[in-house]
Amino acid sequence: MSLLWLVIRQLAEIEAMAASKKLITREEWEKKLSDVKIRKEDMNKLVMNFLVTEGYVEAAEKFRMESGTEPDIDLATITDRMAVKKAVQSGNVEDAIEKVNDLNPEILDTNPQLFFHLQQQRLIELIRNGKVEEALEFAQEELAPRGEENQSFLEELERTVALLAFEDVSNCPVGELLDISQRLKTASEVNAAILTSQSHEKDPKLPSLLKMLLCAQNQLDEKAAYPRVNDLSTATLEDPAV
Amino acid sequence: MAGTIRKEILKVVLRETNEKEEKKKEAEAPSKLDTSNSTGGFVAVSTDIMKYTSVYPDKPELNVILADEPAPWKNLLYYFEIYVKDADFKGKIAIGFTLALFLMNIEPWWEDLIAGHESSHGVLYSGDEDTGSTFLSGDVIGAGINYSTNEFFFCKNGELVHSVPNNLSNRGLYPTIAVLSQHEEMHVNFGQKPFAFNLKDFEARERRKQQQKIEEISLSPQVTYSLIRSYLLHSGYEDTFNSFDVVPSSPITDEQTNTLNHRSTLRQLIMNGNVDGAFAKVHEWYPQIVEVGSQLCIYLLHYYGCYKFELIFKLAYEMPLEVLANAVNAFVLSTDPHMEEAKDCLHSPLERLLKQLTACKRYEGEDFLVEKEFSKRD
Repeated sequence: MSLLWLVIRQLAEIEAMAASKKLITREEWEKKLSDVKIRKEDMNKLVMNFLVTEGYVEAAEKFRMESGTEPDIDLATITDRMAVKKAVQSGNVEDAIEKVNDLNPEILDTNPQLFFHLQQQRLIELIRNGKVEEALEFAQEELAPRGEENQSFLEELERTVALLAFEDVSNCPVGELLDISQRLKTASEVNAAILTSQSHEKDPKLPSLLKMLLCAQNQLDEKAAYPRVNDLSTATLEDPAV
Repeated sequence: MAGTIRKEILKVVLRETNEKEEKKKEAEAPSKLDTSNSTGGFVAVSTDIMKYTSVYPDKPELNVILADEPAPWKNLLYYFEIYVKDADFKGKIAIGFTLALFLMNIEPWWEDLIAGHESSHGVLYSGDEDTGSTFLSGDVIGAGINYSTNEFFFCKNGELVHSVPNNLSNRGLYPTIAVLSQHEEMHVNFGQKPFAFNLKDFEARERRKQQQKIEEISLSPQVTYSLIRSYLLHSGYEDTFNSFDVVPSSPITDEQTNTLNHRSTLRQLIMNGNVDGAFAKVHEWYPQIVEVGSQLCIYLLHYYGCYKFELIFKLAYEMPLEVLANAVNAFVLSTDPHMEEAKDCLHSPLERLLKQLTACKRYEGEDFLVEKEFSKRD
């Protein structure tokens, strides 16, 4: 009886293991891939969506001509949006605020966090240019009242003003605020807000589809060994490790 | 070399045409408990009511019954419930999932299984005796599999009460009920009626978690940039490519630049309806693929499923211009010595990634289409 019990137990374990991970050969997988038809029209839409969202206005115009794909937004608005983005990236925050208000005054009225971040960026630029008194005055008059209304704004303001306490910013614990990456972060936030105001997604579709692919492959790894794509740039299929 | 690639292109396309993969019939979802798939003592009163009476009234014995089919695994979740109409006073009831072979040898695994721990046979849960949360008459108890997190989960009266990792197969797991008592009556619900547990909400939460997991993946912007760039180059959208490629991410060979200009011209001619003009240019620029007239049409047969030779030439003039333009593009690409494989001519890296994504999703049972993604908002 105990021997039979052992055999049955082993059989069950073998069955469980065999069923747990299926091996899909390259040939089988390529057959599945050949069953998938991706429409040119959909790929073109993805490309246009990327060009529009990321602000490649000239390329978007050329692509419209060459592929016949219509953008889902007026291309003229991209130029305006890019001008705002460029202004923030080069530190001309006042100019950027003016341009945003010209585009749509509601954007800053309905988004206090964005307005605060733009004002914070303006303060950073004053500090960067060594205009200490002007910076303090600006912080007191424009930013402090907002900090009183919102605890997180107050904390961000304190971090920014801390830059003034250090002559050598390289030793400053909040020195990263003076990095170009901080400008890019603010520029990206403005870009997203303008896109949202135009009823357009703030991020292009393609990166999220690529992330979805990485996630789908990770999930499928649990169930099967199959040819996967490890290098997204080349999209080369790699054989499953047996 | 290029000739071999062109033959390979044809082979791939014709294989795509001829080999319609057999769609295996998916196993049905469980619909009832199967008395023939049990250790005995169970009587089906109706499709959803099951009574159990011990054959030895003096001492309770362990008996198990499985559903008629294993849980379908190509979904995000699977779940079923039982309503304990009449639980034996001293009895114990457990619910979960087991592999079919489990039935052949129950006793050694019972203690392990009912603790809600996984064994190599499955997992059953009989409540938590420490907290007094065992299953009594009037309770609705449920068991489910969460395929996205690889977990079994258990519910009592509509509340999630326990979960345990699933390190077993996702296939061949049968909904299972086990009793250690003298008599029981239970009503089984495989989804024919609304569940006590709010499965819709649970699924929505799981999907949100999944979406969050996707968003947390970091991806270099350079990857997206290079995919767009290679797509424009592959498709022959020359003006867009030159406008977009302000900072080239990798050098382009002379052959690629030459064919880009040619392919752009050919695409424009075809899209403007000048098929004769396009073919004349192909003959002028690429005498090595002078057989393009016939080969191209064979290449395109899979769009029409037409194999009569006399219709081959006619086809080139009847097919959608976009399809013809893509085919001519693939053939011209085959003259580039850097194109090492037919699939490089046929599909850009972007298209191959979208195919891979769709294949992965479909393998998991999801009806995924790229075009559906455009109707979603962030």
